[in-house]
Amino acid sequence: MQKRKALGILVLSVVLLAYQPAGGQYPQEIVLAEVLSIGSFDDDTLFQWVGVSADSDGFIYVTDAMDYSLKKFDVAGNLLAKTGRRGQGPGEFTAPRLLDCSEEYLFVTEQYQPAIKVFDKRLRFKFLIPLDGPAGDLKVLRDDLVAVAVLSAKSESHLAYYDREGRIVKKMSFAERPARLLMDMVSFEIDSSGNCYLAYTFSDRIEKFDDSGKKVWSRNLLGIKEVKKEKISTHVVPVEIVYKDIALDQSGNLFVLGGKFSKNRSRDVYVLSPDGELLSTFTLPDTTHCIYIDRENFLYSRAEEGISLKKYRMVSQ
Amino acid sequence: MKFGDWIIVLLFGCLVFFYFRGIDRVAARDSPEGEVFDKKWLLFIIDFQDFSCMTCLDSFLGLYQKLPFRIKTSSAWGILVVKKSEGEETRRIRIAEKKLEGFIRANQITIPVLVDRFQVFGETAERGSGVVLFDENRKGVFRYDFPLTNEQFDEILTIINK
Repeated sequence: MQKRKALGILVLSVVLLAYQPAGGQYPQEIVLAEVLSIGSFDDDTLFQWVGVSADSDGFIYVTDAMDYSLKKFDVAGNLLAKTGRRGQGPGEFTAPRLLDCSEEYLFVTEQYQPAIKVFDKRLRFKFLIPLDGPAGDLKVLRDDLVAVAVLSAKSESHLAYYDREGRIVKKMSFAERPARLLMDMVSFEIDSSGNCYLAYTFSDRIEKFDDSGKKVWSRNLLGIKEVKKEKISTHVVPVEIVYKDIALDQSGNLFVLGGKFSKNRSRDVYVLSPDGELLSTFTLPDTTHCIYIDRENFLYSRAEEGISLKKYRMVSQ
Repeated sequence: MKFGDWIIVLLFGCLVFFYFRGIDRVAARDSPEGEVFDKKWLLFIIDFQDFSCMTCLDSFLGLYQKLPFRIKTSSAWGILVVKKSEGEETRRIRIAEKKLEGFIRANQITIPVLVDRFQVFGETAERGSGVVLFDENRKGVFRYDFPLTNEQFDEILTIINK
């Protein structure tokens, strides 16, 4: 009897170990180790940071909407420089948002403004790149090339690649017809081969397109059919965010930050392989509106609603 | 009512009369322009959620910058309303205070702006950010929701400057 029982437990254990949950496998767990924290209640370093980027020398750049500024920090998190004030002139901001950097420049967008403000690494304003509409997301590819998801209610959804004069040198459509207002809003990333990854803000879709604009795969992770919409002024707009941001690590794995429908709202991060296979999920310690991964695979996210910036080492276990 | 009670009421009435007369005189003396105490007050209601959309506060900043000095120095206040959310109320208030500090400093705001930590203005802020105008001359309290139209903007400034 005892032998039978032991055998039964053994068989059950083997079955359980062999079983992989449908819809995704979890071969590894990612654990975050905090390596740097910038800003706190006790200092005046950050008030509401929005965009973050780190360059090849390890300097960290941040836009802060609350004091209309662009800030530069060293690798230890010391504030080295700050520029900006409220205004519409060169080097001034009304609501600074997205930020990305190339070898030489920093590219900053403003809420609702169809332009990118370009600064050098010493935070001196250099020039303006005009856009066809406000930027929903941006990715800097070179000193003279930046890809932008332009928000537009009129044209079909697309990414536009702008040169430094504001000329569109390439256009990649990702929808055949104009979507309902904001339904085609995306965060995106582009890998070194030119493949483009999209995470839709208001629908449960993550997609990959190759360099020629052909769709490679499409995934949904949460089973969300439709999000709630509300009438604001004369427009009906979606109000529930499915995916907040997307980032790529140096191995080409995709990190997608979940929004309202995730188990841990604005904290759960889904890790997908370049082929769209769900590899893992992990949860950030605090809610965030964005995630950013630098060239050394450090992950940056928000804490205390933008008063702190956290930098983590990602450890696979 | 007894005669003694009437005397007490009369004395109390006199006290109240002279007290307020005294305040009026002090106010007139301390007024920057030496005029009678201003009969208009402004209360800015700022919904904390609007801190996530800085352009939503353009009406506040636009109106604030146009206010006459005498209103800024004695007749305008601001309230930052933080709506209740699940748990960690103290932390939310600390976050609100910190952001407010940055906002006030960056925009050089000199009027007192307080965080409504006890939800006194919770219902008032249900409509979002706005400004409440107390106008004693017109014997009324008027609320204007943000964003202000150009007409509302001009109307408030006209009343304030009268």
